[in-house]
Amino acid sequence: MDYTTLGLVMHTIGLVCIFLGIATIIVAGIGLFKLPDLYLRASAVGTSAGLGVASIVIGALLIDFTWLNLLKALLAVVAQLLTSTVGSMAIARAGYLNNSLPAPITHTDELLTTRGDYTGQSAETTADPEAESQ
Amino acid sequence: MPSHRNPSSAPWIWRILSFLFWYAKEFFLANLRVTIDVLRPTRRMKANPAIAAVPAASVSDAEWTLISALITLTPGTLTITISKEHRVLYVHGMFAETRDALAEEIQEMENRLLRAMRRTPGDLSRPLQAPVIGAGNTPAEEGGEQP
Repeated sequence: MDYTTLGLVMHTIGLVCIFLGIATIIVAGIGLFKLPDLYLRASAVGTSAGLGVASIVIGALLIDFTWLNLLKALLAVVAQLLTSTVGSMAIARAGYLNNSLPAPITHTDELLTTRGDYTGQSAETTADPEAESQ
Repeated sequence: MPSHRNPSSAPWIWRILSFLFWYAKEFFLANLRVTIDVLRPTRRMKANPAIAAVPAASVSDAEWTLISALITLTPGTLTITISKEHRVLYVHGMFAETRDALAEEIQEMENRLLRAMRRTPGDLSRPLQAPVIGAGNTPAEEGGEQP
């Protein structure tokens, strides 16, 4: 590493980015335990974890900056955000199709009305599990 | 729902830049909000989730893909599925005070995205209420739309 002022500044910012990324991933891990259902976990955690990895990649880039590394880091960040997004959507869709109902605190569920076994309950009421079994 | 800060008449490049900065701001605010809520004690968590059917103005495959990916990329909101036939996005929101608040938020994001993607955005107006779909029909809501 070089000891010019710019080098030191970039090194410091890089370390901050890496620790921010680690903190984001830790919070995402806590979220996995605390959030009540599949959809909350997928939306809150899926992309937060993606952001955490992206932040670590950017931190590593700043610590060891070359133009080739910049290209690699950009590709890695874009691919990471894209795959975590598509993964979250796939998991949520698969969960809904496999009867994983949203937690009872979900106050509106308008997707329920499009199901084949929907019994005519109003979409504005709380989604309760009994609507599924009838 | 015309947004006054990002009207369709502004130059195209300005609409693109304004969307990028607006999205970056929303992305970090949403991250902050979700992080704070996850770290709150469970009893005082403010999560208030809802799944809303949001009428969409997207037409091309690229527009559908981008809007659903950008909604999912924002922490706290998640596209579960879309119906191109009925032009509806099914969105799960983590902090939805009411169903309409969530739908408005999504439609504002879509308005801004479409204004950035299209050189001439055209008519983006659509109802806020979910269209009535399917065999097991719900009691009619105003603003049903044609597929």
